[in-house]
Amino acid sequence: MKTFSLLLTALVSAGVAAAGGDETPTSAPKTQAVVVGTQETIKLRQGWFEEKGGSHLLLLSNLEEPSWKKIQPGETLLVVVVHGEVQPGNFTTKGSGEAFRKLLERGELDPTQAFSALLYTNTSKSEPVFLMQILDQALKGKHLLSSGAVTVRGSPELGRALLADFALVFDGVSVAGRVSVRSE
Amino acid sequence: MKTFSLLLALLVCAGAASADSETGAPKTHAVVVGPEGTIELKHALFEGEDGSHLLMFTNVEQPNWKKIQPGETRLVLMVHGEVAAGQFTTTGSGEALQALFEHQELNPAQAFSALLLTNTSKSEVMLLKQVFGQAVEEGKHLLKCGALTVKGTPAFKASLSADFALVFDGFSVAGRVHEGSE
Repeated sequence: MKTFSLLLTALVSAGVAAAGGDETPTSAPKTQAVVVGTQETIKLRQGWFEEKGGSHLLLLSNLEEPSWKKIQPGETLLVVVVHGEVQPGNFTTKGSGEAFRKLLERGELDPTQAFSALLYTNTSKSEPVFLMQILDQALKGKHLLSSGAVTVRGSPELGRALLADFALVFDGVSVAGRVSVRSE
Repeated sequence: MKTFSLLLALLVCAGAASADSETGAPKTHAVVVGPEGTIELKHALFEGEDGSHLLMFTNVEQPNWKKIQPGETRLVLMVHGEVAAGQFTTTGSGEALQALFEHQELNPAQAFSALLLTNTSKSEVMLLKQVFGQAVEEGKHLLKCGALTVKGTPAFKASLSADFALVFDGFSVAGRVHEGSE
């Protein structure tokens, strides 16, 4: 749980919307995702990119001004964690709470656990939900992906650069997205 | 290539099939995320031939399933006909596509395959036959890796319910199929 705590500390102390929305005037956001579900398609465009505990951490929301610490009513939040030592290549996983925990807590790279993710929509009409609460539930196996695939390109640098396309399947929902982050 | 010919013959006689849910969201659809933005694929063809569920998605209103029009984006998804409910992942290749068509036994690593193509020509139509040929023989247009969750009890040529997520070269795709299981 040490890494988990560090991750939360980072979210509390950092500002809103760090790198990730590295947009050019005429093109789509370089970091974005689309959620395809039974009711509608949800576009996630606000990106947060950080390094903590040896992993790339990416958060995407459908809100214009997400808090990141709290998930607002109606907000959909996607958290993608990619192992910090991952190299260019194709990776797949069948997610579980155990895989998520190992990815956050272990130092060694296991190709079958190169990444993990969670997806959560706050269906309440008035009550925000703390991200800490959702991450805690994720460690118990909730909100986690069923299976997924990631193609990492370029030369990832922990906490500085990550270029990847990802495709994730959750319970009844699938997500396609891309991250293109390079901190100067 | 016998399978390939049969598949094309099927496309000649098959009609388009798309379904809407009570909520208005299509039951079978997909979204492509790429460097230029997102592309919605809503018109779907669902068929079965040679041991595989075959799904085709497009962004044009009146697709010709045998031809890919200029500007059209086409997704072809193939799922092994004997697949049961469960989670599957794959790292795609031309070999995987060929194996999906030709192997009788179900290999979980080859439970599904897909290809994605946008006809960037301004005037030239592409034949699906040509695109399939490139996929099988040259490995073009094929997914790099992907994930599929099959739900319920699929019935070959009759029903398939699944969520899928695919990564191609510089593109990712999320989608769902819910066909024939009312």
